[in-house]
Amino acid sequence: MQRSEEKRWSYIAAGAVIITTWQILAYFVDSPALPSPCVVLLSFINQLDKIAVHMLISAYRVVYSILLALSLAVPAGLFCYEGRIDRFVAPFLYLLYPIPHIVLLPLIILLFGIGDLSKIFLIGMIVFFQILMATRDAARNIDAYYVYSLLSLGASRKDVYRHVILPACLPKILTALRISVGTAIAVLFFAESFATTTGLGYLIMAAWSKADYVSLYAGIVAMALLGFSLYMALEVIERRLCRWIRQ
Amino acid sequence: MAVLEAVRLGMIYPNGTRAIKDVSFSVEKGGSCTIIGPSGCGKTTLLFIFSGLLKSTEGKAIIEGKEVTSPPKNAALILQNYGLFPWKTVMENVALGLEIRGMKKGRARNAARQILERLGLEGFENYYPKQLSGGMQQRVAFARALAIKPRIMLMDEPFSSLDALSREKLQNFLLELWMKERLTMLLVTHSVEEAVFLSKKIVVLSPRPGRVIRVIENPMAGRKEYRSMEEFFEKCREVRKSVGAI
Ligand SMILES: Nc1ncnc2c1ncn2[C@@H]1O[C@H](COP(=O)(O)OP(=O)(O)OP(=O)(O)O)[C@@H](O)[C@H]1O
Ligand SMILES: [Mg+2]
Repeated sequence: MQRSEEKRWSYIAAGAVIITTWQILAYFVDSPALPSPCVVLLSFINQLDKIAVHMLISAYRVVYSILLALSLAVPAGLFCYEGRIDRFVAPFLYLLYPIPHIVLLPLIILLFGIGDLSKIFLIGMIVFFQILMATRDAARNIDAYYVYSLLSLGASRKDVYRHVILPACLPKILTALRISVGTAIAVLFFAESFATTTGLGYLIMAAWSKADYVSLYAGIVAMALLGFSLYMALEVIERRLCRWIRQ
Repeated sequence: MAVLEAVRLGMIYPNGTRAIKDVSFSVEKGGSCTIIGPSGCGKTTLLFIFSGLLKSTEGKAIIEGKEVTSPPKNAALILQNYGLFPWKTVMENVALGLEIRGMKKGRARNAARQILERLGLEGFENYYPKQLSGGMQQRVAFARALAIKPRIMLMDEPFSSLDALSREKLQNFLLELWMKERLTMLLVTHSVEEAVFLSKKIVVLSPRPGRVIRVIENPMAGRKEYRSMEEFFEKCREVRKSVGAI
């Protein structure tokens, strides 16, 4: 418990350093393109209603895509533990993974329209490959002795997945997930930056085109908050599921 | 009656490596047998065949009259290093075998608790394996094996990663266990002293492909004092000679 207390203070300290640095920079740069944090905070609070709505929409898109990708990529990656499944999956993975999927956006919009579906599909696809790659690598590297030792207890194939493959891969899956959150938010911004009137990406772009720098920063702060809360949620999940690593 | 029997066992791995050839021996009920031989001669292979984890390409492995085709219910396997699951607590590790065999969680944990107590591991139920010393980890591995109440123990160098002192302690522990529970044991080891201390029968294998070059009877094994008796050293010399004289 003492440790989590310490951690909280280190987060607060780091936040203070960042805001102070921002303030100092704003003071010296002295340009409307870099407003001071106090002004941005004030604007953030004034527009809170509007920002909150867009933030919820963005959060929905990101969380939905990540969950969708996760629910498909994790089973597919875990099954790659078995050589005969991996021999089938690996070629597809190696051919499709290195493509910069973001360039498929026009195609996706043609297929799925400009609504939420195309955004979720784009983010989900990118995150899917990241999680699949990590899960597969982890599954391929499981020491056969763990499996042997479980099988010798009379385990079925289902038991092997439940007691060995999944728990052994979980730390790598969670690490991949953390990286994916960053990617997902970046792609979200890209997908929301045109052909839509909702989401934080839209808010930021709209403020930019009106040269409303303060609102622009308020949008960026909202985006950062969204990312931060997703990271925090992952921290909590990881602490619950991977207790054995931290001890 | 022989509880464990190897009948002209041979194993060629899919890549063409021949691990063992024409290995035959038997262990009677309540007996204890050690397989000894140079590194890579196929000892683990042999043990995995008896555990039902590998299928031999020639011959048969027989346990209690039945040919082994899948992991036998009445036998427990103990491995050198990776036996325990680092993501499970001591309690979860020990109860696992019972839960897999369909026992309700509560009952499995009660049974596990009793065994942990018997092995002097009470109070460590919620530790993860990494938080225990090597000797304690290996005792947990024994607890997990014993939880399923096996009649046969198959062990692959169970003490090889321990320091000399813990090793001797656990050898004594295993000896007591063997005598009290009338288990039938098949043990793989590199150590001549361990073989002579723990088993009435010592099967010496040749370098790869492993073949039985000698079976040494060791009727004096079975009590702790043996370790410091003249006959013990005599026997060690004999075994060492046949392991070296290949
Ligand atoms: N899956 C496998 N495929 C091909 N060859 C294998 C495989 N497993 C083991 N071998 C080979 O078979 C031989 C016997 O291996 P095994 O592990 O049974 O030896 P060992 O006597 O247990 O060795 P050690 O004393 O080092 O533990 C070795 O030469 C090894 O390289
Ligand atoms: Mg071996």
